[in-house]
Amino acid sequence: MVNPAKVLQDLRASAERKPDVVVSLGKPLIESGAVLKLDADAWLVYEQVAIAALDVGDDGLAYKCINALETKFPGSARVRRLQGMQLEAVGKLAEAGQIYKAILEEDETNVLASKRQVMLLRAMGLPSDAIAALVKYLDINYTDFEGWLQLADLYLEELMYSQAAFCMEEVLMLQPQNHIFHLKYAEILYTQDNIQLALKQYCRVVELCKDHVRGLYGIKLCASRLLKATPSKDAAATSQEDLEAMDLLATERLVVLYGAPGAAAESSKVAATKWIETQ
Amino acid sequence: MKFTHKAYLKPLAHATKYPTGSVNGVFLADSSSNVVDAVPLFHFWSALTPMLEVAMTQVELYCKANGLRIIGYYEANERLEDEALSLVSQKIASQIHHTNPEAFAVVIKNRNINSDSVAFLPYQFKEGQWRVSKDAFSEKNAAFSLENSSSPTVAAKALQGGVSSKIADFDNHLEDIKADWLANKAFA
Repeated sequence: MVNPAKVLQDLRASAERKPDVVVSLGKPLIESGAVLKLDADAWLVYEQVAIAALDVGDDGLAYKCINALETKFPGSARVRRLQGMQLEAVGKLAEAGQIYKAILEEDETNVLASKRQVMLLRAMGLPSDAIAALVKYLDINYTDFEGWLQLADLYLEELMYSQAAFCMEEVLMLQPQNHIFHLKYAEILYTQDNIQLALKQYCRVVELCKDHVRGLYGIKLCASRLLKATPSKDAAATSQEDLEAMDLLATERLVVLYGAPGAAAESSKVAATKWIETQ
Repeated sequence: MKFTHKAYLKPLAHATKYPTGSVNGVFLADSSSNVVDAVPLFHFWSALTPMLEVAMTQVELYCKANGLRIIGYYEANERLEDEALSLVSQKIASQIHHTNPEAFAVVIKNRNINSDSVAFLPYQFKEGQWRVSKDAFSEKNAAFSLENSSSPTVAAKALQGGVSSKIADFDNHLEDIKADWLANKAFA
C-alpha cells in the first residue's frame, strides 16, 4: 500500500519535479480533508500540491490549495509567491511581476521572490535580463549552488560556454562530491574544445560513480581524440601512456556493460560496439 | 518530404514525455524521400557537444545497417508559444545540412500537439538562414506532407493514452543502456 504522505514527503526532500505523481496522490488527500491530519506537514503538502497543480494545469486544485494557505497564513510572502506563480501559469506575467516586486520592496533578501523574478524574465523571453537578475542575486547568495546551476543553464541557452563553465566551477566548489556536476562541467569543457580538462573531469565522474556509462563514453571520446592528435608539449598534459590506459579502461568497461546478456537492445548494442571499435 | 505516422508520432511522444523542458532528435529517410522514422536524442544539456557527437555517429551506424539516412532534425521548445528554431538547433541542423543539402528542421508546434492540426513547423535552409517553410502540410506547399492525413488525430489519442512514457532517447540510454533509443520497438 502506497503511503501518499510519505511519497509526497520524499518528493519534497529530493525536489524532483514529478507534478503528475504529486497531483494524483495529493488531490484525494486535499479533497477529502485527510490532509489536515498531517498537522504541520499539511501546509507543506498544500504548497507542494499547489505548485504541482499549476504544473499540470489543474487550476481549480491550485486555487483550492492557495486559498487554504492564505486563510491559514494571511499576508504571508510565501503565499503571495504562490499567487504570483498562479498568475504566471495563466499567462498574466506582468501582474505576477508586480507581486514579486512588492515582496522584494518589503524585503529585498526574499529568496523565493528573487528566484521567481529571474524565471519570470526568462518566461517573458528576456534572457539577458534574467541573467542580470540572477547574477545580482548570486552576488549576495553566493553559496546557493542551485542558483549557480540555473545561471549556468541560462548562459548555455545563449551559447556562452565560458561563463557557464565558471558557474559550474562555483557549483563544484560547493558540491565537490556530486558526480553529475563534474559530468556537466566535463561536457561544457569538451564543447569548449578543452579536451584535456574534460578528460580529467570525466575521470572524476567515473571515480565517484563506478561504471558510469556516460562518464565512460566521455573518457573514451576524449582519450581517443587526444591520442589521434599531436602529443601535447604541456607538462601538465596527460601522458600518452596514461591516455592509452584510460582508453583501454573505458573500452573494457563499456564492452563488458553492453556485452552482459539482456543488457541492451540489439540495435543499441550493435551501434555502441561499432562506435567503440571505430574511435 | 512525406512523414509516415511513426515519424510524426515519435517526436510528439518525446516532447510530451518532457513537457517542462526542450527535446531534440533527428529524422531518418529511406532511399526515396520518405521520412520513415525519428530518433529522439536529448532532453537536457542540448547545448553540449560530446554526447551529441557520440549519438550522431551511432545514428549514422544504425542508418548504414538499415538502409536509411539522416534527413532532418527536430526540436520542441520549452515555452509553449515558442516556435523559433533555437540557436543550438540552428547549429546542429546546419551541421546536418552541411553533409546533406536536402536536410530540413522541424520545430514542434506545442499548441497543436493534442489536436487535429499538424504539430510540425518545418524550416528550410535558404540563402544562408533557416527559414520557415510557409504553408507546409497544405496544398499550397507540397514540400512537406503527411502520408496519413489523420496522423494528428491518431497521435493525439495515443498521447492521451500515455504512449509517451514508452519513448526512449539517448539521454535515457546513457542512464540505463536497456533503453531502446535507436529502434524504439514499442513504436514499431
